[in-house]
Amino acid sequence: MYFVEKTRGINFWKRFDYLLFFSVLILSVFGLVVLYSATRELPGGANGDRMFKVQLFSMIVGAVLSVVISLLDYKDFKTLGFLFYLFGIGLLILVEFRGYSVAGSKSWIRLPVIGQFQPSELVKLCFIVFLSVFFERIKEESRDRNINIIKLLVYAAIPILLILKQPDAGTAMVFMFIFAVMVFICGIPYKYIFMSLGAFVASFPFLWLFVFKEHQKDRIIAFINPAWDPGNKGYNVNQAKMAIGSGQLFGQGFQNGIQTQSKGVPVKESDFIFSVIGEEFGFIGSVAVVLLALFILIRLVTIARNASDTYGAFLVTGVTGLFAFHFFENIGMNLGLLPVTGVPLPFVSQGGSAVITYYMALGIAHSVAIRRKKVIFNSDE
Amino acid sequence: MSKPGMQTKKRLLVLLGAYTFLTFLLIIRVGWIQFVQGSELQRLAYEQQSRSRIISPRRGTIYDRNGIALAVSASVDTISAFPKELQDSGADLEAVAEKLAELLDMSKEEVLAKISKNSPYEYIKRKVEPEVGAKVRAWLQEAKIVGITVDEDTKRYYPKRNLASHVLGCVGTDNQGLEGIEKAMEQYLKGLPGRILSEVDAKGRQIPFNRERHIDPQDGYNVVLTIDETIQYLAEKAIEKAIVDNKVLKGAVAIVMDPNNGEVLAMASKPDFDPNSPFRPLHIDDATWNSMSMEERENAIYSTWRNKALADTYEPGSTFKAITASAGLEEGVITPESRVNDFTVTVGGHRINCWKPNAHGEESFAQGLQMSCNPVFVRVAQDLGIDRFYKYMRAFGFYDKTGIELPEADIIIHKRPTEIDMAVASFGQRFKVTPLHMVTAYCAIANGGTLIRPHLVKEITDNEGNVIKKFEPEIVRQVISKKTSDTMRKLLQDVVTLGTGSRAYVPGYRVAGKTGTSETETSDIDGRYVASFMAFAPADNPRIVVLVALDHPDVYPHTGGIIAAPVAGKLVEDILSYLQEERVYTEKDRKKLAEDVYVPDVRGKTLKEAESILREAGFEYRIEGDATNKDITVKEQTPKPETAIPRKSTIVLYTYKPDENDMVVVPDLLNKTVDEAVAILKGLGLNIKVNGEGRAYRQNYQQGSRIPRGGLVEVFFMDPDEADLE
Repeated sequence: MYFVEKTRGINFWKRFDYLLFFSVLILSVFGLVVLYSATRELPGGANGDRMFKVQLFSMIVGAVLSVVISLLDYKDFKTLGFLFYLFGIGLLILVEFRGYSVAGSKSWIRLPVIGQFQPSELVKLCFIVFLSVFFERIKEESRDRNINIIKLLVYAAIPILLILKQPDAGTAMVFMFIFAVMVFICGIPYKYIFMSLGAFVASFPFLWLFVFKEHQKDRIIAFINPAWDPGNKGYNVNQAKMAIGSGQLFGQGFQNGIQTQSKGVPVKESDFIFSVIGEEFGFIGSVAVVLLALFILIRLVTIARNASDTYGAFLVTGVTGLFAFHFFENIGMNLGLLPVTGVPLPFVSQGGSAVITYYMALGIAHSVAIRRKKVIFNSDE
Repeated sequence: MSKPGMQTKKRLLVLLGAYTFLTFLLIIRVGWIQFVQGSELQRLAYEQQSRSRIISPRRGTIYDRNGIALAVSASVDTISAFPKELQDSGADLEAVAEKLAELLDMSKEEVLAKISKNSPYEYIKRKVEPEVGAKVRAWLQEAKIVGITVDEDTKRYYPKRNLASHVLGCVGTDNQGLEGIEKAMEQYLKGLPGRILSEVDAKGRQIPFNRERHIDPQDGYNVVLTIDETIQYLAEKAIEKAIVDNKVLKGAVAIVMDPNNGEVLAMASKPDFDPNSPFRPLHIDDATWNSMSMEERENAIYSTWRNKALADTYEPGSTFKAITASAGLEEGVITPESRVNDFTVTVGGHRINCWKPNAHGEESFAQGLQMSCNPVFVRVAQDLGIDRFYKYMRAFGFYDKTGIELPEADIIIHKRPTEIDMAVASFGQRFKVTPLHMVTAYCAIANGGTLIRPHLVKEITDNEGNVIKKFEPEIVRQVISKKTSDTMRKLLQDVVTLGTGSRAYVPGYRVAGKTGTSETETSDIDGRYVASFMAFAPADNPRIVVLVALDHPDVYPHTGGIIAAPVAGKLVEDILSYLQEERVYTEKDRKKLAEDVYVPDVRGKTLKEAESILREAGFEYRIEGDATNKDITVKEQTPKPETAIPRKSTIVLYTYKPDENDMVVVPDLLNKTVDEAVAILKGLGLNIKVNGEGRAYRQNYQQGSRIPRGGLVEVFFMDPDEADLE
């Protein structure tokens, strides 16, 4: 059993991070507007109205969960972390046997009551909550350090390998990125960072020959040279870029994008939803979303810096990693800057499991924020 | 518990820095795509979307001023193919082509070529009747063919066929305006196209059986013209008849305008075309058409599309004297009573005579205008001087386009006029303007001196009847004073009452006007001219200004006063009676009217009754057949009842049914005096209606034609001098 020292007698309303709350609220509402427009014209007779309703419902559920989590003391997660982790791994294994595929990845499962569900989303949180325990130990305790590092690596590897097996490289990369950010905050010497980067570059030919699947290779080639496009691998990105380019300064207006409203861009309701923002709301709308995303990250980093303990700091660092990767990768691939992976844009892309996960992650951040360390001259306590 | 250390905090700041850096990278990239590559990407997007099928919007209707539809859009169907999809479906292309060719009345090869193409989308046949479209639809459903669609489309119909064709213009296959108002008002008429969006994959194949989404097209606005359908019809019929009567070779123009607001009530130009099939001229028969080369056909089409009212220029000739007169009166160099003479003037070595061989001699200026004496106007122009004379030409708008909605020809006029240029310009020669210019200038003379921009469009309306835009009369400038305008109206009325314009006289309607016989570039060679007449009426309160111009009449005499004036006079009469203008008869009119009497119907009456009726009405009579028994009934009479004939004419009464044999051969009366003609016809048992005085130059029945005894022959007389150029 771990010893947990709880923060007591805090004033929830006075310590609540309203800036984070409102910036997320604005992005969510704008996201719903964009999603509404994106789902008016869908291929294959998909039901856009239903998608929109599911999204709205998921946001409400997520918001409630977020509040519940923020009321809980995050320090309890230290003791419960292992259970979360086991639960998450259990779900991933269940998917392996009982799941079904969407777009080639066996990452979905149908559960009683909840319905369709993508466990890998929720596992992101389990991952952050559980690994933070080890990061704190490595950072704070000198004894058993090497054992803890080994444990950390093993616990981190298990879910990543399970997700790679689905295969869902995009989601696996989210996990790796979160892990990398946490390692960085843990204070890994810069020389190791550069060494591992070098190792990646060195191992690239090996990965290319033996690890990457054909479609992954195609994506990478299409990314490097969109014109080389035998199987239309760069098609999605070109379509997205056409949409964004059509937007120009003010955009073509809500429900007025010619790409958006005509099945021009594939998966525009989730992976390529940023192209809808670009086309219908133009440069102004796109920059607003990008800056809002940065603002959310700034708030999260600030919360991490002001956390009352190292565990809290790692929790929120993991959350920033989660959001940062989603924001940058999604927008970057829409702009043709990064290879295409099925990573949604938080609070905007359609997807119930993802939306609920993001709100729960925010709940964790709020929990840490409310229990932040005492500020000198603050009369709260 | 321990708080995060300094190193953790530092690293978090580094992390934040990295996030911020990435954010700005994204912003720069967004800007690059949207501003630097933006227009190119937008073009690509639009191009790609053209794969979705277009639903033509319903083009707005064109109405006349009273709401009569002159151009309407009707629903039709367009058959198109998605060749790739059709090919992928494994359908038998040959069989499909054969069936479609049969349904659409096309050749099988043509259809097969289209559906075998390597393209995402092809039209097979556009604008087929809805019944044909329905047949194709039924077959597609029955044979379960994918990759061929039938979409709604619209087609332009012109219910009045060639009526006002030059004003209306025509449209192309995409319903875009090509000519006339259809082109000029394109922005209002066209509407916004809708789209049928269907799922097309990256390779341009439509995914079968998926749902389609329709973006409704937005209907075009309606255009309400200033044209009055009835007046347009009267004008067209008038010049059509004039073309036949006078063997006019190069077509004719008639323009009717309201001088008070510049509204064009009619604009007729012949030859014309049927906008329903603008590429097939009406006046050429099939045999000739088939034998023509492509180039000849193009020229023929182009000539029928030419709106002679404003796309052609002509020398206005003597009709221009009204402008010279207005300028002279306004500047005070002349008054109607001024004594002038029309003896030869010599300008720069050129002698300018009056048209009348021995001239009219001493006369008043008013008489000079009535008799259209050239030297009189040369002297007025000389008194004005070059500066002032051309100042008035500018003021009357001859140097500018009139500003009507349709494209106008460039005028041909002296850049730096000399004395001789001005001298001949004073009677309308050696410069060319459009007929519409002349009408616009006459409107200013008639309406109190204000030049008003002529216009054809009254307003733009939507389908709910709301007025979207109203075109108000536009005053260009005041050209002459009200006083000068009043004087000119009186002087020009006298031209019709007393002068060369007498054939445009209409009892009760106070027609004012001026004749014109203009030279063309080839007049010296072929002896052909443009005969024209400018009229307005009623002279004291003008409601209409009318120009009739006949290009290259192949008759003699060919002067405006003799062949154009009667056409214009009749047209003025028809229009004013349609407009319910009240006739105000002069004493002379009444006397003249009293000369004509309607023939009473005496058929079926006994001879005794008939004799007393005719005697009472002032007719003489002659009985053919048994005249002994006065109780015998009249079987037939000539002229027929209700014919207006001169009092004291002879009515022939038949006591038997006259057969074909009792016919009289009409003699040739050319150059006979009135008395001679009366005597000749009377001797043959025919009645005569005398028009004009002098020598006969035309008769309504040609020499040698056979008419019943007692029939009425109308004979036209003129002063032999009038046959010469005015």
